[in-house]
Amino acid sequence: MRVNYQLLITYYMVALALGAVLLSGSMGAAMLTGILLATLASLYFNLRVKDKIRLPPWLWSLAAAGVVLLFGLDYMAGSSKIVVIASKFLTVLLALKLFDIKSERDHRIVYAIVFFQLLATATVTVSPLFFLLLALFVLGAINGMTVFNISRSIKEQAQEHTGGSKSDAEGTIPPGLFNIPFFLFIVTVSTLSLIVTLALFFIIPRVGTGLLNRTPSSSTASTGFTESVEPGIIGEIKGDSTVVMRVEINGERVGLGPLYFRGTALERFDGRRWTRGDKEQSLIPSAGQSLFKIPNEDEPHSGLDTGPVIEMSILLEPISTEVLFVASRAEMVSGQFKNLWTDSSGSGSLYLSSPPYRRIKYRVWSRLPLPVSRLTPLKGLYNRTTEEKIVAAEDVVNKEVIAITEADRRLKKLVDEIVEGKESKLEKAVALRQYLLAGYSYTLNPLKGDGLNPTDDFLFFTRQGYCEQFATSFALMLRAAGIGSRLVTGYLQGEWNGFGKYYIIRQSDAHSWVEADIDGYGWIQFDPTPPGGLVPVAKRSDIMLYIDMLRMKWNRYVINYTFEDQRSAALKFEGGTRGLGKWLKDIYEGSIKKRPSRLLLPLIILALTVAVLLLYLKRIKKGKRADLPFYYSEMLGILKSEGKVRDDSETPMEFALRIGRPGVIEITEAFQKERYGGKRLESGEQAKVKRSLSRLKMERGKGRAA
Amino acid sequence: MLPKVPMTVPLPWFNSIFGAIIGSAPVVVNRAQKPASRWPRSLKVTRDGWWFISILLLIGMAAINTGNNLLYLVVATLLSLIIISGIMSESTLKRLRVKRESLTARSALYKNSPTQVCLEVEKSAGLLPSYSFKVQELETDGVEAAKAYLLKLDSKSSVKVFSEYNFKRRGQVLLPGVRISTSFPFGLFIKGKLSRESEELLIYPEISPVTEVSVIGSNLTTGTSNSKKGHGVELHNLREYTSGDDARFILWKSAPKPGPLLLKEYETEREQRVSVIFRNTEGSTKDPILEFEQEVDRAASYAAHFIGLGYSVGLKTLSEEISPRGGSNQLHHILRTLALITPVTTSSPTLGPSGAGPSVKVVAA
Repeated sequence: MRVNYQLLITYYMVALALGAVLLSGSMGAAMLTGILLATLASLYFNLRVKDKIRLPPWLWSLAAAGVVLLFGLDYMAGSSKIVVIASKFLTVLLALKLFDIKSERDHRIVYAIVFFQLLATATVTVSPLFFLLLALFVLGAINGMTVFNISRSIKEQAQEHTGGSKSDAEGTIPPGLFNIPFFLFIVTVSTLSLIVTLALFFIIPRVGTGLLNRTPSSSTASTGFTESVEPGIIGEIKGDSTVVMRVEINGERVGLGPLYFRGTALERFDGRRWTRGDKEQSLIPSAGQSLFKIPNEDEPHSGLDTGPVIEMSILLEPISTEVLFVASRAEMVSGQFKNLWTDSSGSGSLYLSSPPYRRIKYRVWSRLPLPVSRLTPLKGLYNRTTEEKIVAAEDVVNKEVIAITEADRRLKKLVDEIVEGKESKLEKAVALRQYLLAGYSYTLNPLKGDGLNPTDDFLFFTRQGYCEQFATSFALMLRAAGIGSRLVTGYLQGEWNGFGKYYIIRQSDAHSWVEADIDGYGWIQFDPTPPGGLVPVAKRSDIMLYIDMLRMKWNRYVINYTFEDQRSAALKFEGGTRGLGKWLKDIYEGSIKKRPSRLLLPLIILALTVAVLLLYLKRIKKGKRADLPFYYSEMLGILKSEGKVRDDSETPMEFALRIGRPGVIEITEAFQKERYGGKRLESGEQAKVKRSLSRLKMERGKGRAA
Repeated sequence: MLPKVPMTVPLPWFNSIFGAIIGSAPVVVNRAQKPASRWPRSLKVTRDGWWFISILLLIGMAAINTGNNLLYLVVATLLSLIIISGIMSESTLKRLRVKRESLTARSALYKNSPTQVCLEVEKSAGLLPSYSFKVQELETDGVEAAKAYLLKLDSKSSVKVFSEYNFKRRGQVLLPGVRISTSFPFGLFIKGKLSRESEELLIYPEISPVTEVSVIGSNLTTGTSNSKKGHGVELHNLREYTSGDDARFILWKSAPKPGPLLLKEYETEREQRVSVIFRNTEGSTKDPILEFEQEVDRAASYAAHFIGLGYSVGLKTLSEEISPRGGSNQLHHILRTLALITPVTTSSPTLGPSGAGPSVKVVAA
């Protein structure tokens, strides 16, 4: 069966449209199955039935009008978003159109519908699969447009010759035109087009956004980062593998243990729930160019500010919280925020004006805390100006908040026993943490004990729990020992992706720890959770990590590509070219001291690839030219079958003269004209060669018969 | 001596000196003769192209408005298709050259008489073949030329195609060159280039068959015999030999046959001369140009008709006169004159009063 090339391309495009619908998630399974069946039915119709049954032309118009009406009503009823309705509408329209493909125009309409389907998907998805769909669409579109253009040109020419109407003109596409080489040509052009697409994508300036700049994006529901945290919540989300953020460390990663991505510090505890002590926030003024210097006026010499500074790029998913996560103690933040806020209490927590509705990207310069063993008392006086604001030991027995219970007495007694003999607050804090680490175990499914409250239950009955229970108990124990404390919620560093060199932080990495106010040191970070609770819940396979890396790159460099990125790329390019210039200068001067720009190697590889390709093509062309013309080869074959072979020392004409047959001489003359004269044979000469060949074949036949 | 260089080129003195020093004056002259301000390619947006650009602009606006990078990606894709289209069409047009057969070598070209013209299309170099392009004579006043379509032309090869040319007016016609155009690959734009092959032609008036014409001053009309016996070379009659007849004219072939000897009688050598009188004044009807052109065609048709019959034909107009002579050279002379003739306002007593429209008559000379 002869394959209808145009129909093949059209159904390829339809498959892409269905892929786009799947990606957008705008259609339910039942409707999608229906569309799929309709598509298959249309394929059968177009291949087998169409020529036998003529559907009236008005049927398609009527059906299209019906679909428009239906989806118009759907929109007015407000059943879903306009993009979703448009996507559904286009899909149904496409399925209907497939039953009405008669002319090239109909094929083109199908392409247009597929394109708009893809466009609708672009507005609702952020998946990297979109690029795959787009690349396949480019391949199909280039193929289809080229085929239709050639076909139309042939028809126009036929029309000019016959003088008939365009529809009457029957221009026939030469058989074999759309062959494998043609397809390879299309693939090459498509690849080139995609390269240009990417180049343009990164170059097109991201000018200011307009009125409709709210991009719909799937928001990841988040818990644990509101102003109140109830123990137990994190335990529930420990099984959730939804990615919260991805973090790239710029520069060397110092080996100071796991990173803690700080969300918010909760200071007030009412026996069941942690809340923020001071809800007042102060605006952080921008230092220009989207840079925010985090003020640290209240605690200029906090113990948290003692370690090295690292720079990191964070890609934060929309998780319905205005909290901005930073590793430990941020000193500077750079990002496209309109405003950035911090706690008036100076806890160091950062907040956006509102929860981001889309993925955001920012850079953070954080000072990491030193391990307790390496801490040294701060020089000078520790100015604890926030003393009044801190909920300290008294809060545990704050009669205004909670009544003193049996559980509190038990807790106080236990703490006194643990810290007995310890002089400094630091020693006491270390002893309390050590007590928890040594005597308690980590589990995501703690048993229920007979305690008076969850902390009491954890400390005196079950003796097992998860991070929030450890942190809450530790914070309360610190307070019972007279040490100011606060609970900090956030995330652990998560899983390291070696392919992309970044951390993947999931909901399951949610964590809580404690900051203790130690005289002479300031606020010091303590994590009382046993090491078993600090490792990622499940390790992903290499394939999954690789896919995540692709997704991360896609999000980082495509979905979240901004004007700032363009500016920074331009500056890097400028630096690179300057470096290249310097490198060349160094070569000239004969002293290469520095490695060339990073751009240089890819450029050299590209240049070499192009050079090799050009040489290869040239060789192919030369090789082709070196081929013998078919008629001469055929003649040599005929003569060989008669036992007459040309010697290596003979020129073609010497061989022909040795044979002495007029046909052979004629063919050799034609061969010489073409090969050495660089001329093409005229039609008369071609006919003559053909005749000579036939004569030679005939003579060979007669010879065999004889 | 310095080569002559047109003064329109930049730094002509430099070209001249450079040419003289290097000794490659022709190259310099050729380069200098290239018009400096002409765009190397013409570009026309097709209807599909306008649709494409409109959609591109709309999506571009949506991308700017929403800041959605996937829309920027779609915009980049559409832009890349335009760029690729430009590259591919350029690859098709580059190194293509069309050579038109020399029409001046033809004996005659007539108005409204379509003729096939051979165009040799050559792709001199390039990595890729040229796909789907058309060649056509550049639009010029008075010439209608059909397009010739080529689906594929390999690099370093040439092909001959034929295009039908129809000259719609007589006189001097300048064929400036052949246009090569392509909408390859996507049909969004039509890109073209000009292969300069200028040639000046003289187009004769239209010759129509003459069914009947009366010759003033003679009782002859076209188609009747007017021969008389005389001493010419054409055979007039055979008759029976009588004594006293010149024996040189005996038809000796009839001698062996039974019957009397036959004698050949020859026609008189007197020339049959006519003059086509063309009163080439401006037309007096609503469309004076058409009226004048019709009369020119009529004059040309009469001249061709009578010369075809062996007459000596002359032409008399208000501006020129050609003495009667026979043969094809005379016909070309008359047609050349008629091809270039223009209306005059001068009156002549022999050609009629002033104010009357153009007219043609044939008189016996």
